[in-house]
Amino acid sequence: MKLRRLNWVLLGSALLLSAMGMLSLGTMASPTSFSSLLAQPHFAKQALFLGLSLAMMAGLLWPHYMETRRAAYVIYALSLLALVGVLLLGRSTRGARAWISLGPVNFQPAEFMKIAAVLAIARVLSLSRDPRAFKAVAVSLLLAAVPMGLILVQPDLGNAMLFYPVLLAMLFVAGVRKRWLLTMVLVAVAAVPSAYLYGMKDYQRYRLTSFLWPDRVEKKYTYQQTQSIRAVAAGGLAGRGFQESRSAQPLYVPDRHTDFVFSIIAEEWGFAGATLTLLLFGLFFVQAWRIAHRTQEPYGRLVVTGLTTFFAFQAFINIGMTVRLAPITGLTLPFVSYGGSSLVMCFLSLAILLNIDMRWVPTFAFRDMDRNHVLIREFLPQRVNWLRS
Amino acid sequence: MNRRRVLLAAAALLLPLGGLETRLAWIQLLRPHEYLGNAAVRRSIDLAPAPRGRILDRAGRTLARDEWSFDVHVVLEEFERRPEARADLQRLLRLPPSDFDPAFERIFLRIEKLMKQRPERERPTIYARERRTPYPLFENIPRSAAYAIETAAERMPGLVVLERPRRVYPFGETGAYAVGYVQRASSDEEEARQRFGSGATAEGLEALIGADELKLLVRRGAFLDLMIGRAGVERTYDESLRGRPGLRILERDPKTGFKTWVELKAAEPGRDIRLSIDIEVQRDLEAILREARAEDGTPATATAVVADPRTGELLAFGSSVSYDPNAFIPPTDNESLHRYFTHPGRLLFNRAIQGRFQLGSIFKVVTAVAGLEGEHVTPSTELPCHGKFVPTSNFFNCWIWNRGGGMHGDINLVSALERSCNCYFYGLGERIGLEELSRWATRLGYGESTGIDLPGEIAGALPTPSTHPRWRKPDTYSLSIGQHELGATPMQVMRMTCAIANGGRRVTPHVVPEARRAPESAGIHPSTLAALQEGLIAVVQGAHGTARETDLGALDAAGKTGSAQTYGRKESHAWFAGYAPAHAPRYAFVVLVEHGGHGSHAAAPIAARIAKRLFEEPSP
Repeated sequence: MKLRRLNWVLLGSALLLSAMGMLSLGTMASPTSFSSLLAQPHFAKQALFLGLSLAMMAGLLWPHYMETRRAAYVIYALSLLALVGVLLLGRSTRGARAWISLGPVNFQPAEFMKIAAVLAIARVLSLSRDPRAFKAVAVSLLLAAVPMGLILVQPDLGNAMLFYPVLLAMLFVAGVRKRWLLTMVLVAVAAVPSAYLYGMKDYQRYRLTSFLWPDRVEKKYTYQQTQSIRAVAAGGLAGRGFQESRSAQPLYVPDRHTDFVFSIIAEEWGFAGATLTLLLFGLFFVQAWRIAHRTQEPYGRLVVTGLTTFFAFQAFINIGMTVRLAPITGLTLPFVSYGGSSLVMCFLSLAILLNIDMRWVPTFAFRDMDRNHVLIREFLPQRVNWLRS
Repeated sequence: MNRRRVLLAAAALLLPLGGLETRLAWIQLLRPHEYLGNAAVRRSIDLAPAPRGRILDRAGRTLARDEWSFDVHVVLEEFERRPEARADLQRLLRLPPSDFDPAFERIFLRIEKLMKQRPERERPTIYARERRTPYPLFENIPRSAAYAIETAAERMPGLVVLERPRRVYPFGETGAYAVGYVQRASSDEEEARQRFGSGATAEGLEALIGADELKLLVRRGAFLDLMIGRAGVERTYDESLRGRPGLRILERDPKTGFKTWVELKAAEPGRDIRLSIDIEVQRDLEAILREARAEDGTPATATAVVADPRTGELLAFGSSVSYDPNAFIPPTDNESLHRYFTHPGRLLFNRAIQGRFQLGSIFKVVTAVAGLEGEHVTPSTELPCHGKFVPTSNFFNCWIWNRGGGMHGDINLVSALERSCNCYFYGLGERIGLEELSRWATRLGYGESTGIDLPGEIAGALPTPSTHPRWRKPDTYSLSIGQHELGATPMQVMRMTCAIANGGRRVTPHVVPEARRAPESAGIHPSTLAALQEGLIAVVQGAHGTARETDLGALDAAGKTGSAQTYGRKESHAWFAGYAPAHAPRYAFVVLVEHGGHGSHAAAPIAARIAKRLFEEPSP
């Protein structure tokens, strides 16, 4: 492992985002001092998970990322098993069976399924003779659809929907014909009305209608978003200051420290802090896309594409829902939101990104090696470690 | 696969960041006031009490339900701004100063208590905040007063009228021991903490408002304002009746008094519960019991239990005294509550399961079972009765000797039960011994609680070799006829009666049919039961039966009388335990008249009236 090849910008932006999340946990602490924040159980728990995540991340930098290709189907199968398990014996929280209890730790298999699905799809597309052929596309679609279905049953509409754009992005980068991709988009759009009528639960419909027509639904359905926007507006340019979001006249925003964490940042640190957060996300995405761009090895590129798309969509939808640009979903803000599973998953993904970035190799003479990678593989000596499959 | 597509995808996914930034600039910099809303609005968070489930009788009649009533809350800071407001409110509610002023006092105490839990430097902030928070002032105010407060916000600023479910018991005293009552959780904080301790009550609330806000609600006493079951079914099934409180935010404009609710989490109403009690039978039973007289004609406290011996479900049970559960629902009238706690008749005492009474001849049933099962006698074995069992002592006489020097002669088991001959059972007990006798008593349910689904049941007392290591023969004589240190509740007697009536199965008495537990065998041989049943039928229907002079015979009943000597100079407790019809029992009944004298004269006639009333019911 070459530490100097570690992408410090990518890692740094992720760490800064986590730090902002930790500070915003102050809303849950007593309004006294920074030291009381440290003693606060949520803060301590999140710090513990951050440490754990960093350790896991560091560990995952040692093996070559190609090991994940070898293990892709195993990881996928295990995650699938966990998803089925959670439906059968999961702990039910607020109507959704999304959590498995392992002693003191609860974890959310859907978070790990995201990585597993990306790895499996990347393997299929990178190893098939022609990733643009119908067979590869169909298998990828199946690999994405099964977890989508299982997560939908929990029900967790937001996380399930996320798999579709990720699949499209990966197929797009793999070079699948635009006509097919367009068809897939159109099919999805066409499916929305029937999904609304038959597939959704009532509260999901209310979330959608309260987003589209906020004046026409009962106040209790729009309350969360209204309060969130109020909090954002109260922030102004410079914000109300650290821990000020819980003053003598608090604006109650339900789920503040998990799903609506961005509203705390925008209220306490104002437009400046919110912009900083967006910039950090921007920096993160630019770096991630750079990795996808310069890595010549197709599996790595596809994995980076998939994981980055997950991060991006989750961030946009989460921030969008705090300012009513998106309907309310249960999606967390990557690196920032409170929650162990989400944080661990983010840093595991980050480890894969960093790993790929550390091991990208300049190409041979071919301008675009990956287009013909199948042929090249046949010319390479069999024992080249990173192409072992 | 090409690199250009990576760039395209990157561009497509970076664009929304610009959109979000624009939106933030719009909300935070350009139009913040449009989104901030009315800055004067004050928000306070509160629990939304869940309506409790109803309690129904077996025919679906409502024994307990929740009604909506009006509470008035006060925001001190606003209320005290207008000095006359207090006098106005007092006039409106027509309350004497003795009720009116303590209500404010209580709020000050609550705020003080809350402040004391936090460090010194935080207290001024907390005080200011709590003075802006609505606190409950009066419960169940008249509708007219509620409307007056709502429509004249400027005359009485800072008053908030809220609706809240209030428990009502339409049948009042009838069946109160089964139904029970609720009280505010604060009436016993320690217990409330234990029962809310499972966390189920507050589950999901922390995620909505954060741990600190939830802790504040706890400190403010919001959970202690909830109602929890304190007695009867209200207590046993509190978890399912109680439901779960929701969470709501009250948004008020202090200037106009205009208020709106936002429900963050809807309260989950409690589940209804159906009892096996028939409230009409219950009412008649209590009426009959109130007419109970001791043999000397003075009114006596009587208790009765009626059950279905096949399942153990209770049809009615109660005493000649009772209490009105409505008296416990706030606003409570302290004087009438005080009366309940100091009344010499111990009105809150559920005699059927909490009273430990001397048993007397009823226990001869146990001795008979032990004798037959241990093969110490056969049904035809005759034992002698000479009136006096121990010639040198006057302690162990047959009742017939005490009455005028008579004796029963040589009699068998059936006749001994019929005439309730003491000597026969002294002799039988001598053969059985304490160890075996107490074993059978335990099997028939003595010395252990019956497991009924009502709170506060006692286990009674039963001498065993381990509790009484220095046991002597005369002790066995006493125990064989149900004296000695034997104490039982009417419910335990009911359990034994059921076992004899239903063919030897131990049932668990219960008031909620869903709580029925499968009966277990007591291990009594059919031949033993047949002899016993023959004896019990003879008690009621035989020529010499102790209960022959009642109407029970006409109802084809069977049973056993008991007259249990009590300590001191008071009269014996009068018992009757029986079932009917004798060959296919549908009802089992136990009657106890405290210090009523003889079972045959004080208790059996009451049992007859109850049984007569039962057969007016269509068969269940």
